[in-house]
Amino acid sequence: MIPVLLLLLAVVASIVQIGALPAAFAQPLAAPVLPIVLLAGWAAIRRPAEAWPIPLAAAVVLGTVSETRVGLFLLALLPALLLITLVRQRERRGDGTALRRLTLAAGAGALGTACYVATLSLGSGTADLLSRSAPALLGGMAWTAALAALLAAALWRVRARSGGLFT
Amino acid sequence: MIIVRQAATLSFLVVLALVLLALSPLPQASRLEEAIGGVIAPPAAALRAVVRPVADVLLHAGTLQQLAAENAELRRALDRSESDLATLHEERGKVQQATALIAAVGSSADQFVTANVLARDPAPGRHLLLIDRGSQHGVRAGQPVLGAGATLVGVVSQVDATHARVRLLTDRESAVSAIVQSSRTPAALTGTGEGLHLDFVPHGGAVAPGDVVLTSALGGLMPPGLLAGKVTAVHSAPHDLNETVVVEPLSDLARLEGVLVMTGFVPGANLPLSTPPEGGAR
Repeated sequence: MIPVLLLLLAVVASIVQIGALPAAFAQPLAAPVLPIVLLAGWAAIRRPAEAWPIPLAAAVVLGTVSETRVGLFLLALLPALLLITLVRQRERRGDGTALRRLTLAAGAGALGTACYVATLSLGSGTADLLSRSAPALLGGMAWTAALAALLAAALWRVRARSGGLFT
Repeated sequence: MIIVRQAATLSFLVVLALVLLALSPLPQASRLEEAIGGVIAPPAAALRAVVRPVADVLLHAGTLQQLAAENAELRRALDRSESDLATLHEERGKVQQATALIAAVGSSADQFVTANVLARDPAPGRHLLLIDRGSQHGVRAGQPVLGAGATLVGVVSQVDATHARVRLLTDRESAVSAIVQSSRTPAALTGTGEGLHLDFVPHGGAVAPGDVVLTSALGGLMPPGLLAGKVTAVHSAPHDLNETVVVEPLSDLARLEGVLVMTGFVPGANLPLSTPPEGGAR
């Protein structure tokens, strides 16, 4: 059930990304990356392994309307998931406080956005765009981080709780 | 156990991404992506149509005074244009005769197809549009695409049966043969990813801010005389061979909703021993 829900949410987030955000943000790099918002918010609160449908569905939607290929979009979306997986693996009992999880969502959102833009820019041969568009990119990172933290806060009630001795 | 599962999930996604990248040169992969893109683009376009009026109000909330001044200036420009219109009516008869002559010698650059913009390329640094017209409607790779005021906004880069991709002038891979109207200086109008430059303008090329840039038929890939941009700045350094000429597009390329495709123009058709490009590779 959860994979289907996440697939649908990722498709909707990606359609909003290509449909609504270009109209609302004059500078494309300053817009939040909604699939990363969903990925960071979900994986920080629930289990990172649950979040696999998000990059997959988002890459298919974004890649099919772009000249850049689906595989490169998938690679670009993975660093956010990798970061959260690494941090969550190091967590000890009692580390999963709300503040820590929201900070993790925001941090993964911001860094994930930077990696996403860097991967796609390198893949399409426009790497110098990164330095010239740094203020816009910082804006996009900040938006993504804020929205990921908000989503994580909204999901806090359905968070994955630590297992007991035999679970 | 959870750690193993998480590592396996991530490894699977990385391998899948690499496999998809490796398979992407296959024509079947392109066709599949085009088919999915054709399904996704219409809801994205519908969503943009809903969001855009609200976004326009929010984005321009602080610029009402500037818009009022701009409106007054436009009204004055309209008054001047009306007086020019009378003169132009006189010229119209002559132009109609010339058009008939051009049609008689086989020019087909006067056929257009209107198209709606369905989606913009979401990848950073890419300036491409997806439009709702394809080979079924006579669209071919290489055909010029016009925006508001019949100004050139891009060139069709890839076509399937019902959709086409348009590479905007500002895309880094865009290059169009051009000429500066006042001095007749030939140049190449290239995209920088953020704006436009005129390349290969020699020192003393008599190019100045305000000059209008038109397309040139040199090379046979573009019909001559399409409005393409306006020179905004000219920089020259003594050690450079060419001047750096910054050009501003005449249409707002970031907010295009509808475009005209010159389906009557066949790129390279008038060149000897040339074959017009078909399809287009991704």
